[in-house]
Amino acid sequence: MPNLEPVANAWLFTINNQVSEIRRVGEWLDAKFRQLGLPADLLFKLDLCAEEAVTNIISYAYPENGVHEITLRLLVSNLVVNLEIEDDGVAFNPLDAPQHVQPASLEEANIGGLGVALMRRLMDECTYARQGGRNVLKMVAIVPLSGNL
Amino acid sequence: MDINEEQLNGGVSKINLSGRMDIVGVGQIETKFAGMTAAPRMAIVVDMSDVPYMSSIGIRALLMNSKAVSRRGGKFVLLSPQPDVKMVLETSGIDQLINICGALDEAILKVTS
Repeated sequence: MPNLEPVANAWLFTINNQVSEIRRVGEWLDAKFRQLGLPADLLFKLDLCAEEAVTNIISYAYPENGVHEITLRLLVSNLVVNLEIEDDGVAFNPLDAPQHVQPASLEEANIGGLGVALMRRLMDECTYARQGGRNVLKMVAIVPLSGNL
Repeated sequence: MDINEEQLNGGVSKINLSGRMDIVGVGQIETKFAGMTAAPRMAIVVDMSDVPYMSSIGIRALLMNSKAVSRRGGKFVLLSPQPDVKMVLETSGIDQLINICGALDEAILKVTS
């Protein structure tokens, strides 16, 4: 049973744009979810979607390379978990990747667009905006109510 | 991640994966994984029971190795993925391309028939 305050709480976390930093996101989310008593399967989905998004940002938002900070903002209210991922790279929407088409056979299969397909299917909402020279990706997951209403 | 291989009866190779199958984990095992799915192996069971997490990079590793085996006329199945990982395999449609088995004897039958 989530032990959440009635008002929204927000936590900030930053990583650098390096693949080696990606696991720190999972560790941070894990710690927060345990602290808040949120369900493990929701953590799994958010962890996965955050990894897909951050991997895309690291891969495509910095064609000039360089060291950049990626900011993650976790907002939790009674019923909803919001994760915002913000970067200062070139205008890049991770959700614009080509539509993943279910391949007819193993031989045709590739994973182009699979990360985005997973984000869209596992999250209740995914939106992108370009704000003040930054990319902002928002993911929303509705916290399932437990059985004891 | 860790990876090891064991030879079962009937020419079946069992590849045991463990750890987080994310971009870092896959990077740690991909060369060995490719080596373990290379010729002359024709019947491969990949034990996923010790993999608690998988992202699209993990799916890609499974797809690539599975294709390499099937191109040679061999068989490649996944064994006992954990529930959340199985959910990812189903959500991404990979379960339609690669057989997933819940028990070792079922997996052995699938790769040797």
